[in-house]
Amino acid sequence: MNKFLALVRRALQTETRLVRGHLARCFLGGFVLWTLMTSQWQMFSRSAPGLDLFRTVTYYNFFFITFLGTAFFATAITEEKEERTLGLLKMAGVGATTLILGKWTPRMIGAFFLLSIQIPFTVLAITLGGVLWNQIGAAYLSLFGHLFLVGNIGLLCSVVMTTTTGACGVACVILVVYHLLPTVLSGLFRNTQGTFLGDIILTFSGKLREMNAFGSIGRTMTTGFSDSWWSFQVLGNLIVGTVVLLVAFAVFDICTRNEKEAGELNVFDKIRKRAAVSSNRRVWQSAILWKDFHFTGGGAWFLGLKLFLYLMLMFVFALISSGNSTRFRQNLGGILFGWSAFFLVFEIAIMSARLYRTELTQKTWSSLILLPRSSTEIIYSKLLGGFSVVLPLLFCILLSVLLIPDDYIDAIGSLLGEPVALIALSYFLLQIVLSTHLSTHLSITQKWAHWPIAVFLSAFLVIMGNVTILGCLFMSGPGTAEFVYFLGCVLTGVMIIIIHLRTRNRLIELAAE
Amino acid sequence: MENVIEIKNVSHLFKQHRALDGITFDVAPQTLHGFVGPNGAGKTTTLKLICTLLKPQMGQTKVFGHDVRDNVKAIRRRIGYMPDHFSMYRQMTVFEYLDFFGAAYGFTLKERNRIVGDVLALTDMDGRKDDFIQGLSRGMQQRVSLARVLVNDPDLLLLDEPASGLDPRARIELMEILRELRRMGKTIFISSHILSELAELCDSVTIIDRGKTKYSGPMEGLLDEQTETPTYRLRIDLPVEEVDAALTQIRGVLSVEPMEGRSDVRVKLDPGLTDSNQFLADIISAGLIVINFGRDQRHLNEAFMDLTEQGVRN
Repeated sequence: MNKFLALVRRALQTETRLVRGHLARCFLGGFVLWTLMTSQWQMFSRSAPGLDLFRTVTYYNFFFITFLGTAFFATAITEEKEERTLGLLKMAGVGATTLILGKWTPRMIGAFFLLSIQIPFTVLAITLGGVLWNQIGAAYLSLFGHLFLVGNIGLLCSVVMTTTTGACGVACVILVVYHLLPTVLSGLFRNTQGTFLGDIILTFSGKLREMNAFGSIGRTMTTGFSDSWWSFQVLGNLIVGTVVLLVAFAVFDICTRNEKEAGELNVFDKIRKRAAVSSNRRVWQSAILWKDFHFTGGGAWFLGLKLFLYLMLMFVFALISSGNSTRFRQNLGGILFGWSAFFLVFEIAIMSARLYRTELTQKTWSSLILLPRSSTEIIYSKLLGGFSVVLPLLFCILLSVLLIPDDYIDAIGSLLGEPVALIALSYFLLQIVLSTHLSTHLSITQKWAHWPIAVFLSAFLVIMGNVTILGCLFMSGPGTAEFVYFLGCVLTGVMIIIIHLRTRNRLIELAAE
Repeated sequence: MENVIEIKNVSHLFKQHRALDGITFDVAPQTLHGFVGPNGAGKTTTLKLICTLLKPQMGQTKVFGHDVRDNVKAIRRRIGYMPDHFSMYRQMTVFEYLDFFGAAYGFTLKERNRIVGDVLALTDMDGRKDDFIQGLSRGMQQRVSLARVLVNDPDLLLLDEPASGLDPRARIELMEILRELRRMGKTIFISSHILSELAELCDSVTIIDRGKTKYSGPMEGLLDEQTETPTYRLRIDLPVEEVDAALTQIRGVLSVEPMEGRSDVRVKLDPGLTDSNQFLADIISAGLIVINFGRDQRHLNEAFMDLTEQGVRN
């Protein structure tokens, strides 16, 4: 018990001393205050401003917990593994239970503080009207259940994986599968309804959907909600979360037996070596491009495998969504474009957050920057090599263009005919560039900003900024959309340039540290 | 011939901490120059200034006559810097790693074939060229690191504590490679916090402490400057307990101390009364059989302690 308390105390002391926790709470409190103010301004034009306010805040909480909560818990054990202190703790007699609970409890307390900072504001939503105490209680319980589940998934990944990056990555994949699986299963097996297996899978898919906090919060927000706080989602999340926690306890000793160094070899390194030795393949004359093609992009075999998986995924979705329709080609073309665009943003964000961080973690950055070339050339050569990660997706988009060329011509024609749409598109593209820059900057300046945290925090900040801009847009009169988007473009451009230069300078400074 | 490195009144601040406080020294070409100081003395900061990773704030830092502020590329082309930590792409094989840096320096495929072969041979890594760096021992990784530094055939090698963490065998092998490189005409600037480690290897040495130069010059100069009472290590074919009585009879002997755990004794001489030749002649004339005789290396560490202990006390 003493060891557990010592760990919790140390973690809480450290957390209290760090400014980032206070800043996060301050930021969230400030954001709720801003949402409250906008709701008050719109009070007279809306039937239930209190409910609108509370709904907005709750959904932000949901996204905050899903994206950052997972990463927050995924660092629990891996941070000890990376600092090589796990072995020392185990030698000091700190067992699996003490260690897991000692790491889990302060994180839960931190998350609880983050949620509780908003309670006074959300209670004010009642004053604005349209929301009941019952809804507030049910929504917060839903969020707690969700936090318990995603936190424990993150914790399990932290126990199993050797690095924080790996743990965050696996946790993200599990969450994506968890959210998409009901849709995929119901789409795939909708024609098998009535058969034994089909019914089981469809029931499972329905229960999985019911367990999703997003849907549960939506039901809580309906006018006249009077159900119990203890919904199926809350109970389901708590039960599955507990099972995941117990699995983490069970596998802890097996997964933490050997400490591994950073830069572990993977199967694609072995394939590359075999190919290099057997066929005398050499490093390209553009050496940095070669390096990042292999070590950031994963190399030809990995990119090929990724292309195959992407194509399979999109083909399956096209099959599901087409049903008996004869427009399979159009459907596939659209899915190839839409999904590729979505994954493209995601892949670029991950790449940008990993690209320089890996060099810094492996302490290789100074060797690279000492090459007799300008720092700028080295930095951009790496970026170019890093972009090899998107080659499979660019191929998918090309395939989409070949499948539905007319649709592309029509889309470009209508975009050029609508100046507002063009400005709006530029604005959203710039927002993506801003988010990417922000995640790169965070990944090199903040030690805790492993790629999932850097990517999701950047995305979250940019979405928040957009909420503000769109809030202004809705409050403004007709005909001002072009102006707002234009102003947004200019401001985003300025921010991109500032972050871009700061990142470049910081990278040069980091080579000497 | 022009000095390879010229440092004049260089100071460097990290926020409130003064890492370098007006250091001054030169390094002559084709020499092996030791750079010694206790932990936190400013060795790595100086090395980073010389290799152009850090921009100097005060004073003048010249490498091959170029100011490090102005001619970064020209300097980088002629230097090889090995940091005090392992900075390698562990997922690469030894050959890939060297080939990568060869290509990054702009060498053609044909040139790279020759260069990589040469550096692998020099560092005796031929047999391990297809191994992943990840699986190599610390000593082997250090050799790969040194091989990487040699890829661009630099005139100046900057090595930051290269023997740190190596076992005695790996240390000896590394020192042999450094001797070979000096024979090839390279200038080697090697930092360490252990003076005796560099004593046999270096032509000249700079000792710094708390960012200040304490000594800079030839290794012999350090010994002469610091040794007020010359000390020798001696083994005589007599039981240790009888050696003391036999030696104290000889003119100029100030003290005889048995060395712990050995048959040797440490003898301090009065420089006004005798020198090493006379002392040795007197021992032989006294009928004693000398098995081993040499200058005591301990004074190097003493010299280091004398130069740096003030800082430690403060």
